Amino acid sequence: MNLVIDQRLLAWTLITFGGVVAILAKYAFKPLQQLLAEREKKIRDSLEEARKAREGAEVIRREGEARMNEAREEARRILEEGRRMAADVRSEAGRAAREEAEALLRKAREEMGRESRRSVDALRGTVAAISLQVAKDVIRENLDENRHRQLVDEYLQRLKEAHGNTQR
Amino acid sequence: MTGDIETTVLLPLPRIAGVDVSITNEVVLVWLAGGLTLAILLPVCRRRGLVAQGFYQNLMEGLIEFVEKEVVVEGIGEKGRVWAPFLLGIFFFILSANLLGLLPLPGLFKAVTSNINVPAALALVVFGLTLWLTIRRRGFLGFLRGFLPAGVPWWMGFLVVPIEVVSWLARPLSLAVRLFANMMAGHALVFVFIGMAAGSAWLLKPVPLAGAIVMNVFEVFVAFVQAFIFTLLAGIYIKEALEEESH
Repeated sequence: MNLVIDQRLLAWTLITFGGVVAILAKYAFKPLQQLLAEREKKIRDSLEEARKAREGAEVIRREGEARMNEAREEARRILEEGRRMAADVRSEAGRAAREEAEALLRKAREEMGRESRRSVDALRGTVAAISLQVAKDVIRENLDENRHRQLVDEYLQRLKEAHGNTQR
Repeated sequence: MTGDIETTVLLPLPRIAGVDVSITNEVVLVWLAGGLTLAILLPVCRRRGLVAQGFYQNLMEGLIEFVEKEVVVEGIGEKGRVWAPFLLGIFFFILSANLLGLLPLPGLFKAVTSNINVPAALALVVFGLTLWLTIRRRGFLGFLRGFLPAGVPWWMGFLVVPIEVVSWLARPLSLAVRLFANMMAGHALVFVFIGMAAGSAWLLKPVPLAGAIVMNVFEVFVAFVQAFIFTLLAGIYIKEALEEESH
């Protein structure tokens, strides 16, 4: 059993252990602690970066969501506007068509009235001319029964012709 | 029958300040333990790269971090980081010395920690260090006052102070004896099994041999545990020395 005090072993153990600790402290643990500190810093930085990236992504997601909502709202608004405009256009077009039709109708009626008046005036002129002619003829000649009838027929014939020309 | 090797003087040297410093086979084993400690730690600690690569690097870094965390940070706290090289040095020095004894070369290698002088030297280092730290922190009078714990009436001093002094002095003794006894007992047991195997009938030889193998494996575990316990206690003593009150 090694229970005897051995100065040699005691002294050399102290010297060796002291030397080992000194060498380790200078050449091993300083670099190791630096390395571990670097690693810790790197990990901390990476975690911080990851956190920032996550936050950035979250902000972008929220922005995207907000823009999507805005776009949806805009689309809905545009659609609504479109529908409203379409309804307006439809109603405007109907109204314009109605007005145009009414204008055309009114114009046609006016034209017809003018034509009718012109026909009546022409007829009136023709009748007056024929009547004048008949009166002249009656006055100039002594008319018998046959001649009288013949004159009336001729008058009617001229009246028909005059009326036909007016209608054309 | 402990399987111990005899101490042999390999290189007689003249005394220095009355101390015999001749080189013996056990001194060489201490050097080997020191060299092994450096061989284990220097490449691991000096390797560059932010990520540990390879099994060995990972294993050693894990071991270093385990000791640093369990003993230094948990035991002493953040202020104890400055003592990490010392404590890690103790751990790996004892571990190396313990593991050297497991090399299957009887007659050449042994766990040099199974010689009381090696654990005693290490315990003395821890004791001296804690003594120095305590006096530096509290002053010599403060150090002496520590033997009478706060709250104990002065007239109880005649009873408490001797107990405290003995308890304080027992620390290095318990540190040294614990390591020495555990390492010596494990080796003794392995050699007992081997001796039994040698002396048994052929048919019975496997039984003690199996016992020797099991004990050898167990010794690996003990080598780690004892190194860790020594380091842990050293850390606790340093922590106490760094505190304001009591030993």
